[in-house]
Amino acid sequence: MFTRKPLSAFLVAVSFIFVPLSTRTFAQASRENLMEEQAESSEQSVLMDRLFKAVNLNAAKKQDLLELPGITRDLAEKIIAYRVKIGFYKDPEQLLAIDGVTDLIFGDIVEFIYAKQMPEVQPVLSKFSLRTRISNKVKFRAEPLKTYNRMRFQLLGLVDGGFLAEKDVGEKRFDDLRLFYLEFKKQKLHGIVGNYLLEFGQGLGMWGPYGFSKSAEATFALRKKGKGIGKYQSVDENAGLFGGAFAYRLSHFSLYAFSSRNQLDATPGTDDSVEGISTNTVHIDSADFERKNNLTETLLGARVELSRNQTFKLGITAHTYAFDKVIANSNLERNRFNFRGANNHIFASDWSYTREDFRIFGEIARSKSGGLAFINGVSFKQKRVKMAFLYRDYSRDFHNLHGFGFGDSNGATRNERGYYSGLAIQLSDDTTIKSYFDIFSSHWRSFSEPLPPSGDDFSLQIEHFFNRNLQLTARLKSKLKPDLAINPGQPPHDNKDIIQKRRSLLRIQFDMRVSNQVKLRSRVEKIYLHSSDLTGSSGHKQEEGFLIYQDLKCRPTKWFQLTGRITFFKTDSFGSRVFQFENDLPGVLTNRMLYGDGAHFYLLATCRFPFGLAFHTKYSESVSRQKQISTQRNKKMSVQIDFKLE
Amino acid sequence: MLVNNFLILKKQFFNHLHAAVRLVVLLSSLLLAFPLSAQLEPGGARAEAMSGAYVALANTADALFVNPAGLTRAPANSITLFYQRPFGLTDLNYGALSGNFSILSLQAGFGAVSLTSPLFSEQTFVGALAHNFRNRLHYGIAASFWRTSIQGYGSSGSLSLDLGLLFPVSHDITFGMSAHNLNRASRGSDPLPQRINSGFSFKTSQRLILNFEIHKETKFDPEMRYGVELLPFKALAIRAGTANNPRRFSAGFGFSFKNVNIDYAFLTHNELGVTHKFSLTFSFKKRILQIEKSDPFKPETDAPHQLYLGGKHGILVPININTAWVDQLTELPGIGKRSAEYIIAYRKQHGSFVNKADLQNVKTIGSAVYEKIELLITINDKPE
Repeated sequence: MFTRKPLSAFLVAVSFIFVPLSTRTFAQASRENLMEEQAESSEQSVLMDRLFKAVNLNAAKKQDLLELPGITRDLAEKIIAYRVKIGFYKDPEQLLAIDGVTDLIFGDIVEFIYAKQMPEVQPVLSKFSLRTRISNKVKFRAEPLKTYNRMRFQLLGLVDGGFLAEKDVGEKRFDDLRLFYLEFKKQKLHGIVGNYLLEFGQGLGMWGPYGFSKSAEATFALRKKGKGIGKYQSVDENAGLFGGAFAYRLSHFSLYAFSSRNQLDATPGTDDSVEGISTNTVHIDSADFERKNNLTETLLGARVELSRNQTFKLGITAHTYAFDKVIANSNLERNRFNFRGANNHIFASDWSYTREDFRIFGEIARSKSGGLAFINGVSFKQKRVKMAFLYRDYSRDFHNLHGFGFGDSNGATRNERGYYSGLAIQLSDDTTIKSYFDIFSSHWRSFSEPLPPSGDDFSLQIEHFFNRNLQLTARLKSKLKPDLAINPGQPPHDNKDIIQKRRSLLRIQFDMRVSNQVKLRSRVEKIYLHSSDLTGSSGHKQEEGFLIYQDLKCRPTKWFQLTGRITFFKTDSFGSRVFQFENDLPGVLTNRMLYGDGAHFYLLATCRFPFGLAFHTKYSESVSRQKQISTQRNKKMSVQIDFKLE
Repeated sequence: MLVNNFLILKKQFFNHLHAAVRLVVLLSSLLLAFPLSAQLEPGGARAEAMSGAYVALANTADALFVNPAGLTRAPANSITLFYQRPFGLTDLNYGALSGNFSILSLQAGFGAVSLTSPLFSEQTFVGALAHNFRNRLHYGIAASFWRTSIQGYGSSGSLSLDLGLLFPVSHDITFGMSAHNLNRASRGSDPLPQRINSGFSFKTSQRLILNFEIHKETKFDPEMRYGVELLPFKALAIRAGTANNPRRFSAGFGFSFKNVNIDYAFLTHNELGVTHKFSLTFSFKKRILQIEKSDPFKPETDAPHQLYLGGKHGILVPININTAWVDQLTELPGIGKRSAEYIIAYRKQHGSFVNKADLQNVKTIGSAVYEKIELLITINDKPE
């Protein structure tokens, strides 16, 4: 559909416009735009914590309120004015009395707000919350339930703590995965014991398992804002650290020290080695149990950070980790630069300088093998234009188990080089354009490609308000990335086996506001997958995919909310599959993949009761026919109970 | 004697077998060239003339089949009949009857469709309910009972459910969506099609309506439909439409006089022949031009030509220019946010309006705009 040269020329011409979105829609748009680029295993709650911190209505400044989804400048001012009027908020629901805070807006922010007064005497137990979730995939016979149980609390106003017990479908014990943490935070000292994660700099040296990279928002969430020490309550069994971490703030300096001793799942190899760390962490059969907790990792590290006001920050991190077994990594050509051995140490340095209209940030890191990873970005902001440029270069022999760098492959900080430019322009009060262009390549072949792949990625999104009730979002995305031809039985080593794949997406979406209680959305999406081999000899192939869905969201009273969607889809093949980001239970991220020919629907209901109790349930059903042969039916039901006590 | 019986039975069996084979051949030739259900859509000649781009316009009794929410915009108590001979095949006859009436504060509709051929016949009975939520959102559900019979093999029945939505985005743009066969019903072992239609209707002026729709049925590629309706005179409508999957072109016209509308449409198709469709609509309620404020849920009942224009959002309440705020004022045609704000500023400065005509003193509101809205406004809460 697109060829490279005219596209690059066009993009260079266009890439000088950046526009910040109108605050009215900005925060609301970004949540879904950012989430739809995430893999389904990501934890929405963790990502949401990055975007939207919990806000205490009684202590919030206007800036804090603006960060909540759907809150405009006008609303933030009203919320603060109302607080002055009534003294202090006793209950977040008092917000509904403010003119302009509709039920739907309230529903979008309710998870992130609370109203806490500063009591004279700290109660022993406060901020207590419980979450239980049970899902049932109506297909599995043995152990069809997936359960999630989480508890959080605060003691004496100083110490936060939490427990988590999770079980996947097919696993026997409800606490197959167990996590806990205790966190202490006072003015200068911050410490955590238990399962925790660390986020420093731009993610090359040390970061947790989740983060944002490219998204339709183009200029949002490019610069990572590491939160330093944080709790780990995600269900990825092989990520996170277990031990203790402490931070001490001394005038302009912050000092961190951390250590961890964690057990990971790893596939056993010959002698006393392991093949590699598992990506599959489900424990059902005996082979799974052989992998479980097979490898012990011991980690130790420290960090020094210098920061002046909110403008300048410089940090140096050093850490080392060692395994009790050697990681072998089979001796294949493609693995030549992979990590091998039993230990690694990382030195990293990060910087960031912020001014009102200009920002520069970056990090450089080196691993034991001598490999270097580097990233640097600049962003410019004017009244209606916002621009960002990022350059990254991660060498092929840079290894870091605990990094998450910005890149095309989400998460990996290895073997990639790329130039990214992003742009957002606010053409008028009603129209906004967001666009990015990324050119990337690899230094060495990877797991799936016999030659170092290179590609590009372009996205353009136009948002326009026809009137208060109708918003149009049009999106165009095109990504070229080589892939491997499926050639069973033969190891790929030939040019003939590489396919150039260009996947393009065209989406038209209408968001309609019927009333303060009811919203509709209609989306039509078309996918084109164009494949051709490198030598061009065996011709081209074009596969298409199509999706149309209708969403309804209504909140007739503040106690009850109902969301429903009907989707019809048709794709020529698995390659041209379509994705849809779905609303789900709080904390669950669902990016559903649909392929074949069929229809899907889901219903999501939320009931809020007094005393901090909320009940959520979701039912979804899909039918699809693949290639005239089989019909797949999928039904899924899940229930979640949330209890929160301030 | 027994042998005779046996021979008779054997002959009957083969007759049935031949009939079945002919039926299969007939149906498969239709299915190969022209998906039966996708092309025979129940709906009047008005919808047909616009190649089926009707989901967002739906404002007559036959909306029952296309978008049940449209019943709230149909004139009260009317009946629509249509008859079609698909593709010029003399063996096939396709016809339907539908009607609507009010119950409590809801609109209800009923309908019956019949497709007959020498060997195969199918009757569908439909019941629907629709509600107009505060003039903002119209929604409806329909339940259809399908009765298929093949000669000599008996009949089978199944029930399917449809859902429809209509949302008037502004005074000239309406959005409509309908989803058919949500419960995945099937006739025997053959699944009935599931469909979704989604589209917009633009009323660019009192005399011209443009419709666009995307239609997706499981197992088929998505289809885009375009339709246009022009009223050169109050009692005459000219329509045309086109769609892309399968490619086809349609056109038609309609007359209205007193309480009766007659519509005709023809549809051309690449491979198969031309389809002619006739439909007839009777409206039983007397002509009522006055807008009744006391019962906001009563649909607008106007002269028959208004059947085509459909009124505004189905229900009109005169807007009190002395008490209305920006939201309501902007609903009036020709009044945007700026004009609405000027009206409110004028009110603050000069007090309430004494005459409607004084509105023309407001900045940006001249005689042209005033003419458009004169019948839709009031200075107090009494009806005109």
